[in-house]
Amino acid sequence: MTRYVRSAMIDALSMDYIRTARAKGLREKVVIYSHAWRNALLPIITSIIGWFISIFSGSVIIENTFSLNGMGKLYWTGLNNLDFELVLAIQMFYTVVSLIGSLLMDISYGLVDPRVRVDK
Amino acid sequence: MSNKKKEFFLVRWLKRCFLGDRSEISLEDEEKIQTPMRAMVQSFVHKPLAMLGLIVFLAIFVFVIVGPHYWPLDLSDQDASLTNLPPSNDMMSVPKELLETGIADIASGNTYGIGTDVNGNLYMWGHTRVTDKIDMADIPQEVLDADLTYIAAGTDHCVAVGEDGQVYVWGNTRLQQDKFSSDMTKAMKKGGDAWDVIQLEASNQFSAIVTSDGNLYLWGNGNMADIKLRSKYEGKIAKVALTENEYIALLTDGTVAYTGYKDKNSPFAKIPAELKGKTVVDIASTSKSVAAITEDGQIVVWGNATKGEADVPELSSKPVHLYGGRYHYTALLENGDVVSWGNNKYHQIDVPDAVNSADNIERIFVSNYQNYALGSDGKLYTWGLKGFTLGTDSLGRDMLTRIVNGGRVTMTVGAISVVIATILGVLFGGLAGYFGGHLDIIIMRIAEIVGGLPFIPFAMILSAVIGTRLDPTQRMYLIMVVLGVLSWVPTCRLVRAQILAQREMEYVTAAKAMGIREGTIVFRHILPNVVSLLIVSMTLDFATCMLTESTLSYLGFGIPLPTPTWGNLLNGANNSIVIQQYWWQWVFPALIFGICTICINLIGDGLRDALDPKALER
Repeated sequence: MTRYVRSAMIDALSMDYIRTARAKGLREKVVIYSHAWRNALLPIITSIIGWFISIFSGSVIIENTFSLNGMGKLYWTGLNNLDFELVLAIQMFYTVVSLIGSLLMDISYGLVDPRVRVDK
Repeated sequence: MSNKKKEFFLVRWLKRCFLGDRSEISLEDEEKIQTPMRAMVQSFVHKPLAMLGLIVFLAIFVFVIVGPHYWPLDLSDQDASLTNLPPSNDMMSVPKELLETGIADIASGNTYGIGTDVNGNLYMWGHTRVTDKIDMADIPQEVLDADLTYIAAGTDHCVAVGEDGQVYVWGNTRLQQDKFSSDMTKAMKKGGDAWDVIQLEASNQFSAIVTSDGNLYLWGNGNMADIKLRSKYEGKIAKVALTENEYIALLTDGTVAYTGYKDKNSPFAKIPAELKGKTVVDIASTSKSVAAITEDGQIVVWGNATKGEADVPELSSKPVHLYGGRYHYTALLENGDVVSWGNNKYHQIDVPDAVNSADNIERIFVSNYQNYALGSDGKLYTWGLKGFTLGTDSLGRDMLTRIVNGGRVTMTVGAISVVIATILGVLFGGLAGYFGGHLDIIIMRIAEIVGGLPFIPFAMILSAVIGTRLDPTQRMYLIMVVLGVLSWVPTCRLVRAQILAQREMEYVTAAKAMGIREGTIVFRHILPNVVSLLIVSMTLDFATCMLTESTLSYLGFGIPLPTPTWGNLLNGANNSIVIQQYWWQWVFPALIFGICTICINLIGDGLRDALDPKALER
């Protein structure tokens, strides 16, 4: 995570508009937070939402290892018992979650970076 | 130029990808103009971390590819007597004090050894904790105090006879291993000639004593073992040889007899015809077979000799003594040579050259998987099972063998799925990127659908639905295909984006102007420019595929047992007993797998940084 932010920040700080902002005489805080940081957020959003989706696949492993009773364990048991209705339902849920994740990703791109706009 | 035309087009293509078209550029120009590939390699070589990752990964890779030749895998292999052993190498390291004082007797259990010195003191070595509760090293004080004359080691109990004729049993005594028969207690009480022990033996769950007046006393778990003697043989026993649950005896008149009650149809009861009318000198037994030496030096083996016990090699002279291990025999010959034959899984029959070059072997102690040969100068030679470098699992299988072979399976699966994914990705990405239009839209929508599916759950479904009808080998191929088919999307996107950018380049226009076919333009003109990026993504995908395969195997939807992979070796970590008590069963696979994945990621990161010129500024 730190590495992601770091490389994104370095990328953003080397941009021309940062130099422009500094040349305008803005305070360093303003330069960093409102100019550089906001732009550096883009790749971070991608990875955070990616992680959020992978929590659901990861839960299968975690719940098996520590024998917690959760959705992952339910999924695993369902597959082992060839209970495909259950499996299909959970798979559906996972898919919907990942689609919502993609949607969120696109929406937050628009929020963070005003340049990203859906063409009408 | 004339040489170049002879080269196979693939070789030429590869050369152009990796080295650039060298012949047309002078040395000076070459310094300035480098193919992205060469620049990447040069930048990569100067990254110590990435190079370290590459070296370690290659080492593991070679180890895993070459290793199975040294540690071949036998899928049906298991050994109930060697389960859950920790890593050790000391099963035959006899204590120095014993060697210095002088060895009187040695007996060995599966994983431990006991020995007495000439003063009757007891020594113990090896892995003595035979089960969770029973530790053979818990020797009763009275045994330590006594002067011992005979010792014997069974599967999980030890027997010793003191100078005063007292019999001691320790270890597992829950199956009546220490309950002497009434005849025996009587004889023991009488003492003197009636209790002059000449042989002590211990086997699976029972023990035997032969006295000088020809009596045989057996005791132990009578439900499993044959612990009775036919009354007509009383007073006629000279020597006894115990198999796992039965025994045969050498009588004082030089014949061999099945003197037990247990089973008339026992494989040992049919004394072979070769022995009829001949005097037998010595008998010995393995766990499932028995053997005898006749007076004229012939060795006859009978019983269930399924592990090569009956394959007696050609002997250089007459055998004098015969000793039996668990699945092998060792014979001492008249000329002082020692010969072993039978099962060689733990090198039980690899008699060291030093034994045969030393012509002073006096006594040999053989039991289970260990051989000890004692020279007259007090030098001890050992061969057989020393221990397991990485321990054994719950079925007695060597962890090292399984890790090495599992690594091969995991890496093969990872590599082949990456190849499948890359082929699919390049094909679809190339088509979508170059031709665009409807084809692009269709392919990218398919890619989005595949990419939108949560990976591990979907792979589990595919494996469970299709995999139940397949045999283990087919299932391995299924996993490769499933992983490949599910992970081509990022490669496809990468190739498409690159080709979209490259398509507008001048050289493509030039190629088009020359009337080259479009397929040729995509795959022979544009693709070589994308190769470097492709290699980076392949490296990282390889790690991901290995991880996913292991995850699936760990969850039970990957490659089924008993085929080892790094994932299903870790399956044992599900069990809290394994985690707490048998750390070697999950630490080693986890360790090597972790190192391997970290290395691949280091390589991938290094390559990515090397590709990105901006990275150098950071």
